[in-house]
Amino acid sequence: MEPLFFGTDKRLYGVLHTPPQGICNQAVLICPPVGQEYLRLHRSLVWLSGMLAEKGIGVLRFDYRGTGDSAGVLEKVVADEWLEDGEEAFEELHEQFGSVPKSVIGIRLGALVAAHCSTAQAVERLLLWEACQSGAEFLAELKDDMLTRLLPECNFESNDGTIHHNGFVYSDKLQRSLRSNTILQNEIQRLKTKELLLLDRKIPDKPLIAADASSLNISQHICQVDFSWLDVDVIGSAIIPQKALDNIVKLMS
Amino acid sequence: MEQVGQLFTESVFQVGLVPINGILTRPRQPCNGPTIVILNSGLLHHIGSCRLSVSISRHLASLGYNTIRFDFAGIGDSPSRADATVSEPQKTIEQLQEVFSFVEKQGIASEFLVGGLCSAADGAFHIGVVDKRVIGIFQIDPYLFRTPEYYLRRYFPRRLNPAAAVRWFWRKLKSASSRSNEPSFHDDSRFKLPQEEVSTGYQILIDRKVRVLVFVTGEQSMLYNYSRQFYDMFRRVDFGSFLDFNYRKDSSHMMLEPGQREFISSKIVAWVQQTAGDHVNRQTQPTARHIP
Repeated sequence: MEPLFFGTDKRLYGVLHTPPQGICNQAVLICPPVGQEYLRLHRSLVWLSGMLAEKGIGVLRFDYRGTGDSAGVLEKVVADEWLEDGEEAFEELHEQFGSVPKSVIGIRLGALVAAHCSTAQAVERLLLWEACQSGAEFLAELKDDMLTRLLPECNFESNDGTIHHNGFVYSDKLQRSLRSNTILQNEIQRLKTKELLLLDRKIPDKPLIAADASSLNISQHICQVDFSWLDVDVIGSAIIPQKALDNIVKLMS
Repeated sequence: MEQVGQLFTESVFQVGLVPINGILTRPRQPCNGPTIVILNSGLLHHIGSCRLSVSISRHLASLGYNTIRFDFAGIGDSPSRADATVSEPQKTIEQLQEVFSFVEKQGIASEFLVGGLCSAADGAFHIGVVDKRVIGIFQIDPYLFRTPEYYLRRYFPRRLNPAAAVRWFWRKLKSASSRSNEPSFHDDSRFKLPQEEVSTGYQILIDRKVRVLVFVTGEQSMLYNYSRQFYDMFRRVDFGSFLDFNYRKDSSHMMLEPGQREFISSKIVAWVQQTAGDHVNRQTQPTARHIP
């Protein structure tokens, strides 16, 4: 595990996982979810990266601006900056691991960043784990969750339209920029990947597989794990969906 | 590998053969004060609950203080170490001392203010007791113990008030039925220390004039239910002016509420400024001359 700052002004924080045998036959970029989802999944992403590295796959996981250790505050970022961050992270992946085949994993909202990466660069595999199909879908989930949760001091929408959800803040500006991201709904034909792998716990109500995506080699995988992305308990327990992690390693190797 | 902000810079650091990984945040202007060390809590990695460790680090660095946040071995971005035979507090102390030595060798500082939430509060306590380089600790939800008054407040009113007793029973029933089946992993191995030992530890800290900042959140109501309980828990300790205690009845343990987060982080920043300032003053005060 090698942490580093990279990108323009070294504003992005990432961690490299290099295969212990020293031979790297593939490299993977992990685009994480955001907010409490990322905090709770972090331990799993460390494990996943280690498991991939054991299979000879070099990994870079990173934090978007305004999240984790990267520069900025969540209150001030917009979604387009996260797309730029994805591009810079992909460049860093290339710099670190050279010309081996590269793949991208996108988780939840990170799926939009991962998809964007694969429009700029041809990638071997694009794996989307429980992808939010659009920024609007993610925001709708947050709002639904706010209605059912009994913690009005933590989960509310302030007068200026800012959403406060489980300790994280989504400004009106960020929400607007997220709503305009529909890459997985309307521009799926732009993806430059040999293989699009979708990992979900059930067949999505609105499948991604659109008519204009017929040129893509898409496969849907189902892995039944029982947890909620949006929950946060008293002590911030980690999410460790081992079955899903094993599936990802299998699909990527 | 350095990230550059307007008022501070951030760089990654690695300490040890199986490295402890962390972030050093330094002010643009050189700083002679203590380094502030924010510990990771339980299984949460070093960014802290709701990214609070990052915002506090950067705020303090912009005010001129060096700060460090890192992951203990086996947590977050630090790999595991094969030291299974060493006790939890001992591991914490050893790893923290490695970090302290690194900071000293870099010529950054030789004194430290250490703290954090939950198990990090415990870690700050353990290192503070044994290491004289620690001049202050800040703790959010530290070791807590029930007192006789706690029991009185918890159970006595219910016995007298049938409506409250019914409400209590209803709440219990509801919470039992809404438990999630989610497979999750939490750190329930928080090392338990006898009350007497904690009391002795605080006395050692106060004798050494170590400043202590404590927050207790309302989510600790299974252990803590009235403001001055902390003082009752440690009656033997004369905290004097060295303790700054804050009972945040409306705050969750994870500080999910924006107002509570703001209060706690502002208080920590102000306490650091005061503690570091007082310490410098104490060091620079001329020794009283004995006039025969």
